[in-house]
Amino acid sequence: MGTLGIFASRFNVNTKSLEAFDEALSFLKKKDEVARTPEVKANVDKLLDVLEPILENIQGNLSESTAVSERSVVDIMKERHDREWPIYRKKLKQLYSKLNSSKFKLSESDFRLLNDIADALDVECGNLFRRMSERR
Amino acid sequence: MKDYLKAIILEQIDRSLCLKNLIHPVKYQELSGLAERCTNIIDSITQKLRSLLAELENREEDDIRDILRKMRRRVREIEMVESYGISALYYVNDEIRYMNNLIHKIHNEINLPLSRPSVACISTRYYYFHPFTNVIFVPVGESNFLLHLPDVFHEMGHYVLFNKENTLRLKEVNRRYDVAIKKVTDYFKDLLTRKIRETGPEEKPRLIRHIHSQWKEYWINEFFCDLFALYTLGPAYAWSHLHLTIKKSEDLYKFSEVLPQTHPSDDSRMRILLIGLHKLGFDNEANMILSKWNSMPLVLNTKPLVEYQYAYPEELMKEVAELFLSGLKDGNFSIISPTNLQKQDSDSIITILNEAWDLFWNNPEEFRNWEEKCIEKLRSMIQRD
Repeated sequence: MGTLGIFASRFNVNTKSLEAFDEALSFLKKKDEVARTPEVKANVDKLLDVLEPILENIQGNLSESTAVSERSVVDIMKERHDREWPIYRKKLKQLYSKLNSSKFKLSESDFRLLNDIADALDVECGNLFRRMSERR
Repeated sequence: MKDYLKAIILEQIDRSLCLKNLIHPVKYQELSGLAERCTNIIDSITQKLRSLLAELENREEDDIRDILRKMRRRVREIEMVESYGISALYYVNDEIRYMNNLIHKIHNEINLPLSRPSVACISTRYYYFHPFTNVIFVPVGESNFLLHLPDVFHEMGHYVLFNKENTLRLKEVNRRYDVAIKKVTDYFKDLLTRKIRETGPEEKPRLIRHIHSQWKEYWINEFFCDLFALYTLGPAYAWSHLHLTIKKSEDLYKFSEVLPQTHPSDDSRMRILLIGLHKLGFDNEANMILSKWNSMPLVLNTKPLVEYQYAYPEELMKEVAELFLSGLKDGNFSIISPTNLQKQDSDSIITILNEAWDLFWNNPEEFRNWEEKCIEKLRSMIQRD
């Protein structure tokens, strides 16, 4: 397979994850305090599918997940939040813990953070899309 | 910004409708499946864009980050259906009938549990498969030759990979794939732990993380497709890999410690194919291929980087080859072996492609004559069917 197909494949996987992430984001935006109903859990899982491999990468661990190209997504986030990276990293960990708790309320800054993650993933999708169209 | 976004969405709806207009009339009946798929994709995009317009109406100016992302996704989809679907319908000639029917025959021979993919003979980048439209692109002159046709089987492997999660008969392929990813991750986790414990250079852990990421993102898929082609077609696929390598490879042991590398090295691909051949019982063929491979100047005069040793561990490759074989067997694919290769019909594509390679080595002077006659026969047979 040429490189086009390879990038198409990664593009497809990352785009699906982003689509699910955005769906979950829209769902949770409408909620005030969130209890873990099955519907909420399904949506939180969509967020965690993206967030988990990103956090594993940030912590220097290897992740089994194939849902996103976490190394590239983390690089994009690092670039965008270079100056505040240690604090930013901490915020990501806190958000992850919050999403794993039995009852939680997402603040405006949590939503900003979730949108940052989605934006970084969107940039990675754009990168893969561009590479798909490049002649090599 | 809301108004601007709205204008872009409307522009994209118009573009989608224009593209839909290019689908009909479908020039060849063999492409009707692709035409239907493109129509469905465009309808779905248009509908999503319309929903996005409605969603946008209810948003504040500072609350549109997700709308922008969604709009960008649709723009990419429109570009993809245009480049990898509509273009295949638009630029067609008679060759496309032969190639699509040929794929149909292969599809039946290997017992592929998916609808048949389409073929477009307009590639300027060798063979590739596009998952969005399910089209295999092949170079324009490829229908007149046989020796690289095994690559179509590799592309079908990508088609299987794309559908492994949503097709019941591919459940075991999917499960084994996940197990393979876990094995790969466990292997490199273990190596990483050891290297962190050792007081070696700091670059080693970084290198191992990089190799793991290459395996997980790219190499595992390429190995799957190579093995899929080998297990369904047989030695002809390994021969075609050798053939492509001697003609095109820049470095058999291509490896970068930092840069992404979409394909595993040609050396590792041949190694996994040899493992697969032994698993299928093609020991003689594996030995012949290895002997030819080892006599290539590319092999004799090149040595890999020291770090290359970490990239393709033999035991891991054996485990991966075994997992994929079991998955395909459980998925009821027609798996080739020396015995059932002999039992195939003389006009099966699998027989013809393996015969082509035998003849190429045994009687190279006569090969082209035979190949031309064979393709002629194949064309009339496929048209008759």
